[in-house]
Amino acid sequence: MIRGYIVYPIYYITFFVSIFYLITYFQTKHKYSSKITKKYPFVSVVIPAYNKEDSVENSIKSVLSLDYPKDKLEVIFVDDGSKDRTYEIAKKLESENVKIFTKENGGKGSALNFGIRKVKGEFIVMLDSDTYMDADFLKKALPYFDDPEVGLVVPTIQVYEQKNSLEKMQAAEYVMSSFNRKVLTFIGSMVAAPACTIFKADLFKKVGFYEEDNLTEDYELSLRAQKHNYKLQHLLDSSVYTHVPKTIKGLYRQRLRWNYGTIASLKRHKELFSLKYGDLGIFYLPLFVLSIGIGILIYSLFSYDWLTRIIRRVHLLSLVNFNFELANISFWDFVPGLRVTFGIFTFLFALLLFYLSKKYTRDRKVTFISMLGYFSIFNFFMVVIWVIAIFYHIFRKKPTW
Amino acid sequence: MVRELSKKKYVAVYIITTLIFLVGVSIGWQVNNYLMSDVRSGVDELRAQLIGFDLRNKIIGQNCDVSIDSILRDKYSIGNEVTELEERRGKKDREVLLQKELYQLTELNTWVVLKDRREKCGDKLDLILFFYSNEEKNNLDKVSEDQGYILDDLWINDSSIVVFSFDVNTQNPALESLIEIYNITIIPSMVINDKTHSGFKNLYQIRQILEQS
Repeated sequence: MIRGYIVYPIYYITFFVSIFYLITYFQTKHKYSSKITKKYPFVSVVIPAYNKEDSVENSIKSVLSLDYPKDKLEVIFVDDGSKDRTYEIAKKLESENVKIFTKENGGKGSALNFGIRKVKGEFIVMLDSDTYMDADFLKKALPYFDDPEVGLVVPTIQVYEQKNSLEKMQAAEYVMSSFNRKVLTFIGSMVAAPACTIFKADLFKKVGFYEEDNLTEDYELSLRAQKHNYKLQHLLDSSVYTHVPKTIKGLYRQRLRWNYGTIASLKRHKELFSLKYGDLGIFYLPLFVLSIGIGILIYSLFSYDWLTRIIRRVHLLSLVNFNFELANISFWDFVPGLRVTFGIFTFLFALLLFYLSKKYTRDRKVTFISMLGYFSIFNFFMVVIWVIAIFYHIFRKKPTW
Repeated sequence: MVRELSKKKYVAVYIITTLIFLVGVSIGWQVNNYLMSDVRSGVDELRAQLIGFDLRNKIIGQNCDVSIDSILRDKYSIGNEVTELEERRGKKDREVLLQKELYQLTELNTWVVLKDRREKCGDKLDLILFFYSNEEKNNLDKVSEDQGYILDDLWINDSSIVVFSFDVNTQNPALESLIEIYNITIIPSMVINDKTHSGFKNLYQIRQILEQS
């Protein structure tokens, strides 16, 4: 009974958000294609790297192969005190518009800030050293800056290699997140500045540089940009490709850092939770925090339910010497009850979001199975990591790299 | 950037969400109502069959050639639906309790008919009255479910066993007198071929009782 009181409000909130997203999408779907730039301003690409000897060459070459005038493009490569051959390999690629620097290790934020101080471009792309761009990325991203209020443009991020199940589920997550971000831009509520975000250079003068001790320095910067009332845009029809953790341990460590950093950043900018910031302040951010709580609650309830049911079923079967004839399947087992009816509605919404995400990001690789895996196993794992990240905050511990 | 609040959209979304929610709720209710009416008509049909059986016996006497298979089949099928109703609408729902009471009375009626046939026609039937409780206190519901599961296993594998289940908390004079006659004080309890066996019995113990009775 108590469970009913919890589950139905959660379904209501889920419906509300899904319908809000869908209405926003239908109102704005004619605006999802990007224009091609006619102006070619000078663009600097900052690549911070630490122990990335395997990907550094491809990363620099991917910038040089962009469909953009080479005399309007520079690469600022910052080796953050790598212990491997990253700097040596990068140094071999140095040229007039590829500048290679090295510094003492200080973290990604410090390497980015180092690079920002060296650039001469009107726009700056922050590129992770294991991330590669579509050739038309700059040509499609730059027209968004025709609106003087736009401070940064985030591209669609796709997974570079999808060999194992974990990578496939992350691929589904990345594609759907990109579509979500695009929808959120239309209510001024996108908060993100991940790999390959392109910034207006003067944004850093107004909002400041990256926080060097923050584990999600990019997310924190996007919150600051929102606070300064910049518009944050999303480029849906040009992608960048990144490597993702291949193992559960790697994913755990990455997400613990991300989740911990996200909580720290939101705590630091709690004044954004206000009517003053419109939909961002009273809809998206509270909803984001609420969704973490809902996720924890709903996955805990389902896990408890499943576990107790399985234990009970095994116990009952043991009473009859595991006679499986007693499955007792009747017609009514296939007729959905109230909770199942809402579950089906929710699943259909998820399916629609998945379809739209694939359509607009022009993804060919992410499968239906990956999406199912993402919504079930992967999200369950994420919920566990959120709980751990919250405990890290409570006990004032900080995850390490 | 001028910050905006999508007030109109929130109102529209609120209305649409509430409508969808109400549709979902009404679909769920419709399904439950359909199940309820299925149980109701099932109990009525079974009752009609039993009345027919009884009247014929009174008019022309006991006819041992008439099969009782359809009565047993209907009894088990309605029993499953009553369990499903309890799952969906809750074990304390008034209408569920009423349908369950009617079903149990019909079961009692069936038991009387089968007992009579066993005596007069020599049908080789093992009749088990199973007394259970849905009360969570002292895990009575769990132990009752355990016992019910074992009994299900028995009748599925042996068509000569017929189980009649009664919730001891059903307030009905006929059921109360049955509890009194067989001196049911412990939950779960069973009356196997007219002899009371109190407390939980495992599969092996029940088989032994059946062999000895």
